[in-house]
Amino acid sequence: MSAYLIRRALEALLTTFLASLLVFAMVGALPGDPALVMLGDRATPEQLQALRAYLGIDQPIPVQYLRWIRRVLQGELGYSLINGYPVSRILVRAFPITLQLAGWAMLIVLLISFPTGVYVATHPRSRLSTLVNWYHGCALAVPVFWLGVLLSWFFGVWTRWLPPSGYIPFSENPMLWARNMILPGVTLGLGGGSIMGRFIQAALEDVLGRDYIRTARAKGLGERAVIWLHALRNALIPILTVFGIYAGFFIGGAVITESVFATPGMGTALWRAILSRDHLVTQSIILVSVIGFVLISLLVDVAYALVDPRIRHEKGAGQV
Amino acid sequence: MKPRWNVSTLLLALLVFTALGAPIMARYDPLEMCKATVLALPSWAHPMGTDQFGRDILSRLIFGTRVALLIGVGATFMAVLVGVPLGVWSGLGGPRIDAIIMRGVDTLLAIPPVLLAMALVAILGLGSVNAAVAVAVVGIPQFARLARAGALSERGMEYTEAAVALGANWGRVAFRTILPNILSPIIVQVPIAVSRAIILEASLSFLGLGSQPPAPSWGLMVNESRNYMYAAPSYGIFPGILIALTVLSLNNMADLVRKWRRI
Repeated sequence: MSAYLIRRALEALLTTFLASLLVFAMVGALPGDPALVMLGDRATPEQLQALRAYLGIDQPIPVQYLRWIRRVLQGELGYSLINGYPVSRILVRAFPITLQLAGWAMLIVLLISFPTGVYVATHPRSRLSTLVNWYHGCALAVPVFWLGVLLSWFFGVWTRWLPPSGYIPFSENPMLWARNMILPGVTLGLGGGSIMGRFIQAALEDVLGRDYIRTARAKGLGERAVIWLHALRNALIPILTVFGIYAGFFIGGAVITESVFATPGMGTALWRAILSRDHLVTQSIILVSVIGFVLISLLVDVAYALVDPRIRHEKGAGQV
Repeated sequence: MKPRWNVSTLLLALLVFTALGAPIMARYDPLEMCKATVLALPSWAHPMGTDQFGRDILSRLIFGTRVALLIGVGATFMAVLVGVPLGVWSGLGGPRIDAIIMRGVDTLLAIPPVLLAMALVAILGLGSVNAAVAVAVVGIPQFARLARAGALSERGMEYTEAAVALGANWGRVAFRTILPNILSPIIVQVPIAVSRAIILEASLSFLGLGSQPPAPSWGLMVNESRNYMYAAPSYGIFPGILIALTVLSLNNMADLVRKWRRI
């Protein structure tokens, strides 16, 4: 077990290191003088020189990387070139909001995926199952940004049932907070609900044919207990991995959802940073997101190994 | 089994025809502004209404088909062109080359697709060509992994050994012996990759990072429509429906291809 964990952790560390090189190379890859690109034509020579010294551009590239990574590890992510805020403060402010959005979306995902997945797996020939399959196909084809715009228009502008965009902190007004989070949550969670729903269905269908399910039925257990206690518990193992894959989809979707609903989270911060060429902020947000994504994948693998003994004993697990 | 034609293949054929014949099919110039008909609702003259500059939405959608298909297919083509040889090389080149290439691929996979594309656009600069390049880079890992998995399993086959024994050089073994045998999963992946590329490009354009105004891009049109949701709700609805239908058809085509290649 521990050998597997250590190897997975080392792999994750290596991936993070390589990704950090890539993110670091972003600023280096800017055509021309990065300082000039960042500050623009109106910058004075003194400002340019100060930024060059700050970025350490006069140093050899490996030294630049080490200096940058040392600062990052100390939590010193630099300053926004647009408004002078410390990047760490921007992140600290934006991250909890994105996390709340993720929580709402996850709620939607669970509400959609479990009922549909279980229903279709247990009623494969029913007409409703066909309908659900159609729904999943459509939900996966609809682009996140259009769904957001459509929901915002229908519920926010046309019927006026919910605010079309914006964000109110929970501490200020819990009711308004919830009303503001529903539409972004649905926008982000709808596609994921269909991904997960299909996976739950496939995993459950696989499990339902097994011998122990027949045994459970044979000993007179009710159908509900068979499905929810025996089948679903075993089906949950492959479902776990989907969370790892889904996390990437989620992070990307969050950027788009936040920009549609003007939710001031990490996605909006990243989007603004890219549009205003605030490269230090862009760099930091992408690095933090990548680390988060790698951590989630690692946690999923660990959870997977915890519930499934075959994985921790298998040699070379996790390699294709 | 022969591939069955259905609604989605017809729709895709229609889209390709639309893209090719856009100047003939569109009644108006997609960039022509008209002050008299700003934000008009659907009518005989403008079946899908007009936008904030009085441009005909249907004509813009027709020309937008070109942008979407060109970037979707082009980016996927680039991804296949880079990813497949990389994967084959990784599978055949020995453990060291395999480790190096796969680490690189895993690193690309460790960055969420939208984020990776945004980061690349941040480096390359805004615009449709750069967005296409970013979308292509995002697509490389999946093809590299598929090709590598195939190459690994075909490497030990007797016909590969026979080709090597007959004195075929490395390139011949890779591309004449192995590649034709690992094509099936790659071909199935192509329509899925195109649909992902179209969504990603539209998302980038929606965020203002892809095609720039006044280009008739579907994603950009949805973005511009947001400011006029009250006055002209139909403005943003049609481009979205078109994207969804295109993606739905491509995903359906992937299923057809899968049945056809018996995977």
